Amino acid sequence: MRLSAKVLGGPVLALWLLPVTAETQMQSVPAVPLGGTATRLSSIVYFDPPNEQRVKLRLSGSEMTPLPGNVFNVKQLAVQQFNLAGSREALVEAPECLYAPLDGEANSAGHLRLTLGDNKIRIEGDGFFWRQSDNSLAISNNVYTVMKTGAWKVSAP
Amino acid sequence: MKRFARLLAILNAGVLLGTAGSPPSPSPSEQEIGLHAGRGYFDGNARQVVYYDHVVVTNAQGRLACERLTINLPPAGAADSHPTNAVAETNLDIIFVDSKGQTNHLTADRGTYDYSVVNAVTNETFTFSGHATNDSPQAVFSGEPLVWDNIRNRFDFGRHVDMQIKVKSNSGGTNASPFNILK
Repeated sequence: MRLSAKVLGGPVLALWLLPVTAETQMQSVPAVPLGGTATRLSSIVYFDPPNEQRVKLRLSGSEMTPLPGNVFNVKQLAVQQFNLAGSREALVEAPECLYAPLDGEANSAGHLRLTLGDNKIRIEGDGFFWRQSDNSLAISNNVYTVMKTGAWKVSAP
Repeated sequence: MKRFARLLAILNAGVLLGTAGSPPSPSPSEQEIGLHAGRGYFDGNARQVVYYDHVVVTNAQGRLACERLTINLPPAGAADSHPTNAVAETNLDIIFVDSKGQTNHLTADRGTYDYSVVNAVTNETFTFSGHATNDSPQAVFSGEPLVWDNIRNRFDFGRHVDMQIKVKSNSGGTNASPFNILK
């Protein structure tokens, strides 16, 4: 896994990436005191060998602030998931969320947008809970979905 | 037989939202379906979305309402964005406009949509069970279950079939029994 980030808080970024892979290698991360705010975050997760050159996941955020309990407040979160062919399978966007990297969980009372399959399915809602272990996402309020699909054919007898 | 065919045409015009009123088309265009719900749950591994609480689905032809809607999405990267399966449960209520511009009202406890392509053979069915009833300007009918095979254009009324034909009185009417629908 390779990383690039302009950060003001190296340990913060380390915690952010901890659950992603144990093989994390950080580059160009200045050492700053814990409690700082990281900005313009970007991290990439690669597929396992033999596809280690292909991007599996790209995470980004405009700002991340540490909170008590190994929780981070992330702004403008965007998570993109790709398949082996390089096509994007999913995009998660949230203006703001709380991220617990050690637990592999994220939640927010704010808005969330999930885009699937070449923008053909878009799911939005307010308030969410995401869990990495089972790749699940619960949206608690005002769920709205737009699905683009081929029109069904009906031939009446 | 003509009346029966006409009745089936009414039924088949749009048994489940999405089929409602869609005329036969050799090259189906893309349609947009909107879905509102109180809350939802997305299982990324199973690629399944479950919607709860006052679920309302709308498209150009009508509206579907229920309390729980489960949609199984196609595998990631699949060229066909068709959901492979959808189950609408509890107080299923569908209002749709058929190809003749007539409003139909279908209710059931449960509705299931199944879509698959196996060995280049497409299967697509709509199944309604639990007091499944459709009310159109021409007839009210029910069956257990009501199954529409959208590929083979075949309707199965199941058991406990009940049909009530609505006869309009007009000056040019006939004395034919409204129940002679098979003639």
